Amino acid sequence: MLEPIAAGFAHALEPASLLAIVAGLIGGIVVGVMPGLTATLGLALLLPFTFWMNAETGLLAMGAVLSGGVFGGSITAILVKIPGTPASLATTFDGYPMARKGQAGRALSAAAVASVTGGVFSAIALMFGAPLLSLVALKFGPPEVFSLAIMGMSIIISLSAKTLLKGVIVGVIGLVLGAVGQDPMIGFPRFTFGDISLYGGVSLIPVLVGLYSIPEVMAIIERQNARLGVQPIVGSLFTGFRDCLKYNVTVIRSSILGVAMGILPAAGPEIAALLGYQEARRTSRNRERFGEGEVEGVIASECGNNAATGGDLIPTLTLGIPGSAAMPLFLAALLVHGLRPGPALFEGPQSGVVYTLIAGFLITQIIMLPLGLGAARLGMHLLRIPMGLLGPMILMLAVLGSYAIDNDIGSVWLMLASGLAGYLLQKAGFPLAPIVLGLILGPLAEANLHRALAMNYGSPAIFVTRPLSLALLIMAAVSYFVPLFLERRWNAAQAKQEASP
Amino acid sequence: MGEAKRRFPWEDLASGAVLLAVALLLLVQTLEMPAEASLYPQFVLGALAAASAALIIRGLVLRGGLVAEGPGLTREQLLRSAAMVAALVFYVILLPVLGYIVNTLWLVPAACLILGYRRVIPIAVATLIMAAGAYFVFSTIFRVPLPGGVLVS
Repeated sequence: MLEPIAAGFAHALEPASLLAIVAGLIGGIVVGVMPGLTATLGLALLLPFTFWMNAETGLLAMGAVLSGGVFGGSITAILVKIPGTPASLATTFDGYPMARKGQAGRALSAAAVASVTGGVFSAIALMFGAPLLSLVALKFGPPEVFSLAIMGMSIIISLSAKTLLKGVIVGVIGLVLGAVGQDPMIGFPRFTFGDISLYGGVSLIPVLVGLYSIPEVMAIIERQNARLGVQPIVGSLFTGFRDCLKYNVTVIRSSILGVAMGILPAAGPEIAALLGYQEARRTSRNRERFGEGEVEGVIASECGNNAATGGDLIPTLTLGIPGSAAMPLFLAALLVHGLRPGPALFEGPQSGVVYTLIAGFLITQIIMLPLGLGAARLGMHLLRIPMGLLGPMILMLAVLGSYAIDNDIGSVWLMLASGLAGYLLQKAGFPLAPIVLGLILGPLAEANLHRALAMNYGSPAIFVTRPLSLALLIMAAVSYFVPLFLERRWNAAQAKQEASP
Repeated sequence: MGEAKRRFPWEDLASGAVLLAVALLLLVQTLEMPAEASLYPQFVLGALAAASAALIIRGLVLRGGLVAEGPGLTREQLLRSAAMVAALVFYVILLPVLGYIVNTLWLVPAACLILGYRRVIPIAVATLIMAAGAYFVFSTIFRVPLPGGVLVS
């Protein structure tokens, strides 16, 4: 196992790889800092352009955008009290009060060091955990893969913050879109309306780019007059090491929780950060200071959300099951380069790509420390870039990205139609990410459903009589209910804290 | 402390009705497909129809109990949203005719204005970067010929 890891490090340390990491981190921090723009949008805009990079460079850039985006979100959370990404919500609880007390520098420094520590922890877990999990995945046949796809759909729970029914509906819309084109058994064209370009199915990348970019730009219209009250950065930016050493137990606990939440398909960085924060508050000697500017709260949240980022990659790479909202974009990036997630990714010539990504993820965390601290001051200026100027640039990147993927204006139409439909769905209160999930997992589920049924003369009993398939279905049920339980527990704890004098 | 104002969830009813109609129309189409090809679409479309019906029923039964009264879009924001949609649709229609550069020269300033940004120099710089800069990067680095339009061809 060590030989491919060493080769991965050698590849990830090449100048082109390091350039991709630094550029990705800067891009990620920029989108993470801008309120309303998420790391997922950054990934969606970058995705079509990875087509022209080799697989390693493209994936390294995407990993860096994700890590930078999650950290960038904490800058806004601390300076403006707006979580730049949903994963930074828990950081606002103590980060912003610290900034108001004139400790913005200390909060940002603690957030940067905690993010990096959580990220390094998750990179190590990814390095050794992913190959082990892939060995289990080698035993999977069609019934297990189908059950796995069902488990993957459980992420809809965490993507449907307000209404599960609407999350389920858009997830099923994704499954319907995934059924467009020739069926996997006899090649019969379905819902193509005579259009030959639809025989291969709905093109994933234009749909992704449209869904993530157009609604964001349209949302700028609604908040164009919003003025942000940015707190100044006061205090040293180098106190984070001392704070993280002082609260080392919180760092380790939040990192472990983060990786675990990342591996669980239905829970991502958002839940990891909230859970890390909640546990830190429950066990801290300074629990009464939480919510009023306690640096331990910032550390717990930032360790948790960044540790979940690497954890998310474990089921994504080994099983092809996205670990969070951003992971379908990673899956799409792998597919663009002809790489199918699963055990085969860790063997043969393809393994070089995945080990470079894993090694690069660790290097990304280390580079993020100086870059992140530098970006904190830059973030203050970025927050003043008018969204009215940024919006058209996002639009043009979406047009270019969707056109360039196969030099076809039809793809631009598909991007625009997906984006506008997404905007309308969003206005009606539907989450958008489950559509992508359904679009990716639908064809996988269908092909393996047919194969599994054929193996057992059409009887669905095969899904519960094979131990691994049954275990996966039970885990799917757990995946559906655990995040609901954790969220309920979090809400109850919140309500209790608000009720107490 | 007064109770938050609630309103009728019209958007749930409208979206539920549209999705239910689409699901039923596509379900009818699956009747003409061979059994092997129609099994999975029938299952997912059935699920979509059932979930859409549940959304409509929930909206009707619970009425104003679900949706908190929000600020909603102002008339000006609605007009701006419609203008943005129209600009994007025209942009894609005109893309093969005017080509990427000429077409982008009007869309970027138009989108900035629609989004409420009016400073001329930053708009001009952004337009130049997105039109000529992107054209150069795509044609030389990625080797992707962006649409030239009737003027170029």
